[in-house]
Amino acid sequence: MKNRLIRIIKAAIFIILLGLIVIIANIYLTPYWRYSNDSDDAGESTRYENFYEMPDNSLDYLVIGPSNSYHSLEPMQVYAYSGITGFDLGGPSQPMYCSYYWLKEALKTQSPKVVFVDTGAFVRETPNNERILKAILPMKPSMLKLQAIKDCCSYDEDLFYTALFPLYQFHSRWKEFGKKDIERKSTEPYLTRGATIRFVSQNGIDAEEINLREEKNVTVSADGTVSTVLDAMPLNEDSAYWLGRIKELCDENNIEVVPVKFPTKNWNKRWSDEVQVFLDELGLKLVDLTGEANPAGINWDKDSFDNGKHLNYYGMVKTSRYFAEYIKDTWNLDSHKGQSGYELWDNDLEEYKTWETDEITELLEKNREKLDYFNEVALNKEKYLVLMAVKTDVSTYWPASLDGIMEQLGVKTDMADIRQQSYIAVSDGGKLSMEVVDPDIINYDFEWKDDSKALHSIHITSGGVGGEADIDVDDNSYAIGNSGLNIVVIDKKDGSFVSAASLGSNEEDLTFEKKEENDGENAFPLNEGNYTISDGNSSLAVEIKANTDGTYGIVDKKTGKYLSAGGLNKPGDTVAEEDDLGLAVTKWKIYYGTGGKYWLYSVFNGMTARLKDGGFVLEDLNEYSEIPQVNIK
Amino acid sequence: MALFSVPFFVFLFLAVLVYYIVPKKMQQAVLLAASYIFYCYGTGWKGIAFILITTVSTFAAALRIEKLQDGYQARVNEAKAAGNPIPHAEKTKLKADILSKKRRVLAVGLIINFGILAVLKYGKFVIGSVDQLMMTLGLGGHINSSSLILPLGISFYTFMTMGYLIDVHREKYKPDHNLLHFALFTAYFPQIIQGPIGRYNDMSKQLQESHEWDDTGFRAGFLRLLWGYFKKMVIAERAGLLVNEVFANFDTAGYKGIVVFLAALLYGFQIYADFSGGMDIVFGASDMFGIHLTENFRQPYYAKTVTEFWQRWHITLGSWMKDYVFYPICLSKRAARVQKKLKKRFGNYYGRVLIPTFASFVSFLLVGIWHGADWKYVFYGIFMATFVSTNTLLEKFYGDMRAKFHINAETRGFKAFQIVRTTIIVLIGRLLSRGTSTTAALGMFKAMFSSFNVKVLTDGTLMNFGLDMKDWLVLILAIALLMYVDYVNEHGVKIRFKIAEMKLPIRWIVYYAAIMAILIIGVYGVGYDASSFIYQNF
Repeated sequence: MKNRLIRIIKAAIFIILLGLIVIIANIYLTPYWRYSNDSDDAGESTRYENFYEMPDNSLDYLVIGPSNSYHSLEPMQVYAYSGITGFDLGGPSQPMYCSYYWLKEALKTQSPKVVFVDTGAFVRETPNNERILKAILPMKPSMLKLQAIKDCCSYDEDLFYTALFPLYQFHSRWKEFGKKDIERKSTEPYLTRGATIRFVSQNGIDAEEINLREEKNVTVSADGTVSTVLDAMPLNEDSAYWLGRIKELCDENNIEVVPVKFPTKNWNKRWSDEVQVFLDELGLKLVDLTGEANPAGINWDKDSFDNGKHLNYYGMVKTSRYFAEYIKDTWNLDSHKGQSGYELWDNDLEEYKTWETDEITELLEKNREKLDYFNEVALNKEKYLVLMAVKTDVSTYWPASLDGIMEQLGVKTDMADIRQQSYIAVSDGGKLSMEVVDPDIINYDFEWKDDSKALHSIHITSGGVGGEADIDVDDNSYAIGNSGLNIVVIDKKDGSFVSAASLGSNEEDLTFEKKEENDGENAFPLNEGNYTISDGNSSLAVEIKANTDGTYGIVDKKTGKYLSAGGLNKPGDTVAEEDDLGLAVTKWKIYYGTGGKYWLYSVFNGMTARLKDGGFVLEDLNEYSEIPQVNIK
Repeated sequence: MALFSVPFFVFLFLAVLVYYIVPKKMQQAVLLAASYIFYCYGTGWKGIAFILITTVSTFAAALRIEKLQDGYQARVNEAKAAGNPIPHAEKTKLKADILSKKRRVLAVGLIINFGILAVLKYGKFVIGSVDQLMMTLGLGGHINSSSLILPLGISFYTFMTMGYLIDVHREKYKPDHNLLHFALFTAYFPQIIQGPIGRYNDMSKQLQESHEWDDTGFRAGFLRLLWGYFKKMVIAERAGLLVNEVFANFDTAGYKGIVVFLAALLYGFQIYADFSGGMDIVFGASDMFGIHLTENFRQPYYAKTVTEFWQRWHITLGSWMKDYVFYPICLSKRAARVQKKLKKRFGNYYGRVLIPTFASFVSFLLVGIWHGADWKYVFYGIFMATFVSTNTLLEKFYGDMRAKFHINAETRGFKAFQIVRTTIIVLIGRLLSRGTSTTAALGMFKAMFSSFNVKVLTDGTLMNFGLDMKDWLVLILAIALLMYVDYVNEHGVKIRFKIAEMKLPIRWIVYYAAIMAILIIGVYGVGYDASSFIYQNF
């Protein structure tokens, strides 16, 4: 009897230990769907892990449904504008039944007032196993999860087994197992509360073509391929059933259900009419952000990253600002900013503000980095010996935004006018000491004394077409040597190397490469204080404030509000004025223009602004035509 | 229920648990119930009907044979006791009469059960062949054979029960008088899927005895089970990725040279790992009940002749053929008469070996046909039969040649040559059994020698079959491990018993490592056909 008992205990311990080992293997071999701004991954693992970190009963609203939901409504932006908290629990092609189960899971720890349901779930092709797994696997183990597996995965045996025992599908990942599987967290800060932001500003096709989708039932993929949506694609009737279950669940918990058509071009009239029938049966009122009304003000030329299917960062900002107002006005909710229990939100918001600006900077990096660098050189011209040499050509696509820099350095030549010619210049302490333009190769050698009277030998070569660009100081070669303008900056104090840059300007896309850290991030051409901005026709009295990240806030002295890109990005949009929330919309750079003037650059959308009737309107920053400049005195 | 499935694990676990919990006299009933539950799950009610027919008909036939024999014996004894013994001539006549009746009962039993097997297993093939012939001659339309089902393990239990019936007829042992005992012998679940083809006299005592829990035995059984899964999931399934692709698409994709050679070579390992792996699972499961089945494999790739290969591969099938086909042919009266004539014609030696040669040929032709209902298996059988029978026929000639050329057959070098030679012959035979048709197999054989480009081994071609570098590494190492274990077993060492006797931490590490190796590097799950063992439908 005793032996039997010992055997039973040993067997039990063996099974328990085996279970632990298998669980660990399951965890580490299941992919971690890591959030990243750059990849196609929506970051489900990161999203749902972050949700579980939210303090209990701290969320005012939840968002569920497929990808348009979390590409459109970004809870951290909503919080910044309104102090109202929420979370995106949607997923890519999330079927309504997965939305139901995530809502039920969320209600274990949260008691929101309202749930927004993306009606895009009605329009879905055959269920996608991978997407269902991404919804189910991040759920914490529970009876609810088992129920979810049964309801969501039973239609496919492999899916069912994988949901129950992920090793069934993922065991073969042992071949790619690595550090990324052990460090199961996002490599970037995750501050968006479930939203996925694509900091991509380009669309492949223009708005006119996008309109075709509504009229002709076509769809356009991210690479621009146009295909006809099968007219036979019916709406999912099971979505109606599960929306009904969602409504029942919400009614039991005193939560309002609001179906939403988030901004996308992938809808047509037939689907809209059919969905409306389902919604009418359930007594639900739709919030429609698509179509002609376009209450969020989406600019389809710039606000999508995949030809109108989903919104990019700009579209997301507009939609989130809309929802901030809408939620505040409709449910009369108080702001939680500064409240006890919401420290996580307040702390994350501060981090978010910096992160948002950094991400935009990266998006618009090409332009901004170049502008910041050159403006820093100009700002500190008195401290520098600036040596310049052109290789091949600098004129064909010379950016007008650097004209002011050249003026600051004392350069007389119009850089747009020396096509395929050699060019060298020396600016010593902001004063031009030498400048030559020649169709042939130029070689220039001279001796130069720094402020400590030490002598340095300098050699500059510039070749036009087929030539080279060399800038040597004391036999040290510092020029980067790419085609375009090569610039080397030397410290006047002791003749030491400061930085070098190469502005490739013989192709339409300007490239920029620099050695050494001189990002000019904190270069302020203007000190903080009161100024008048004018262009000869109108003027505006402002107070200029310096932010810690090298940007400016510009306050209209009459209204006390900050100039704000206001989530807008269409040329001609009026620059708004609003309270400063530390977000990118109210951040500006001020760069050197020509003739002692300056020009404004919106950190939010990379556009410039023209003074008009005592205010500003946005303009695209066109490097090849005149940039609107202002006097700031 | 597949051997590699969660239901099977749960089922086995519960069966073992209940087996050792119940009173000992109930253990047989537990095994019988478990076997029929297993069978029902695997085959449905139609399949149950067939195994019941075989069980009951064989049981009844055996009892009838015994009754006839006992009846004869009783008459003889009675007459003797009465002081009036039956005269010799009459006794001979009586004996012949009884023998004739016994043979008729035997014949009925064989015809019924082999008939069922023939119809269900070969019916589609025969109908298809006749249909094809009729269509070629312009004589007929399509004959529907789609309704024929193939009950689980029908080849195995038919051979087992018919062997039992023949043994009873030969008076090797008394028949079983307990239908439930006999039903357990027929349907015993660990062996029903893919053998071995057990013998009644080996198994019945074990099945009917009660078994105490044995730590070492259970552990060794569990290890053997794990080893079987490792062979199946890590080696067989992985090798199958290339094998299946090359064999299935040989014509359309134009595979040649080393690729075809590798496919044939890997098939040899695939089928060995799959079949012997299945055996290990079966044996391991049975060992857990304390019931030890007859070994079915004995390091076959160490065989030095094709004959020896078949004494090491699927041993119970070869042994069955030997006892119920080979010996009856060789020892029949007709054979004896023919042998006399042959000796006069061909001399003593050849006259003596021609009958066994013929018997070998027939036996291995049947082995080929046993494998499946297709012409390719017929040719496979002929291929193997040719080598085995010529081995018998030319044994003296080979000996004379070795003596003439002073070749010492006992040296390691010569043995190695024999092993390699046998492996190559078996490998060629594999092409016949695995190829999609005989024509395809011959085409593959020819293709092996065309475009023999060694660069294929390094230019990335081998990564196009669903196997990447890591898979190849695992496959090579796993096959090396398999051959090493075989080598150790060939020298009489049973590794699993050594492990079973080690200290607990080491044993558990081995168990966990084996289980996790199967779960992680095994080839199963999404994209794979879950463990359909190659021999499952035999």
